Amino acid sequence: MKLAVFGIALTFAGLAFAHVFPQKQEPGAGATVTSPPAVTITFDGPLEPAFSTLTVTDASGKQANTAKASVDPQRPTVMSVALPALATGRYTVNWAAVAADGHRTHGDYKFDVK
Amino acid sequence: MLQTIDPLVIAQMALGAIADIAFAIALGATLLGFGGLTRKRVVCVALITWLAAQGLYLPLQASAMAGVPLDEALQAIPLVITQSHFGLMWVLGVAAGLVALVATTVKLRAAGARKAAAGVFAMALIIAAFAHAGTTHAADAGDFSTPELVHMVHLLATAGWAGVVVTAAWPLRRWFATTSGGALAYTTHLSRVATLTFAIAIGTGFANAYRGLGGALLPLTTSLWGTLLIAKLIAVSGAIYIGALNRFVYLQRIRLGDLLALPAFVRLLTIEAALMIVVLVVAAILGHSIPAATG
Repeated sequence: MKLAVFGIALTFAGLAFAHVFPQKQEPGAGATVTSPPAVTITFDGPLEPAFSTLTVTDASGKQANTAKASVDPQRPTVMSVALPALATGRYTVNWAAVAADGHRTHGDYKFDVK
Repeated sequence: MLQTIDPLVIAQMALGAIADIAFAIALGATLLGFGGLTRKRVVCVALITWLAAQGLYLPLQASAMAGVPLDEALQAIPLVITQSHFGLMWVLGVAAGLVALVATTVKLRAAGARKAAAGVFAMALIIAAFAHAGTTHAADAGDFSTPELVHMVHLLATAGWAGVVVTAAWPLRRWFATTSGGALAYTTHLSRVATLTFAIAIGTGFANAYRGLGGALLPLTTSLWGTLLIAKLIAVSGAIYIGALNRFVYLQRIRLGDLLALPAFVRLLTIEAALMIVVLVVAAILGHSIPAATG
């Protein structure tokens, strides 16, 4: 019976994992890089392309990317946005990810361009 | 976590809980099989409540998915419906709910037609459960994937388990007492259905847990999320204990003709039903929150 109860608890625990988070970020958080061609984030679950967003802003808060972010049709866990040549400075990546179950997560991190 | 949660998510949790309880009652009343017209009315009210909850949930979900305030969410609804997996599952679920409502309200004379309507009703509830499974984490594995189908069965079993208990405890309570033969037949049937659905819920629960956790245990004691999970665990344990007590002690006494056993059975059933409601509410809260481990 204890095992059964444990099973139920685990079940509900499993259900609550329905939010996606970045697994790999390129460039990484806090990294110092030469102007990257794109920012690519790999999430731990598939994304809804119509609702997931990725933008890059410079230190003054101005949007640095002109292209629109897109989710890779072959690998729906990967979202990327192409970048123009970036000037030296600190940049912030803002992401919002909507999982296949409709749950939204968002976050941001910074990287430096040398 | 929950301290910083916005009112929108709280509203989603509340609607999720209402929908789950309503679905459980619709299924539970059907599985109980007794109660005549009252039972039919209970199923109707439960289905209408479930549909209303789905209707109110959609703009909240559109707001959450598009990341816009609620007053701008109406514009996002068409995009949610046409461009997202959630939208597809929402449409499927609501369509199934409407079909179930029609199947249960339509007046049929021929026995064959009534049988067909019952079949359509059962199919509609299964599709609604599939659609619900399609809006949980199980959907990440893809539609008609094993995890999603296992979760669908799990949702049906837990709804059936909670549903028979809640429906018997409240809307159909007086049916136990009205006929002398009814008490034994109904309590026996209730106990059988509850035991069967419980067993399926546990079996599919293990399969779910195996997939969902991969052996990693969460910080159960260090977060509000963990506390809620433990609260639910206690409520589930209590419900299992009371269910077992009723089945193995009071049901036997009813069988032996003990007149005091039925009121005791019904009292315990009421406590069990209250615990089931707690479980469904906490499950809805947990289903909409991010575990501390990943947040």
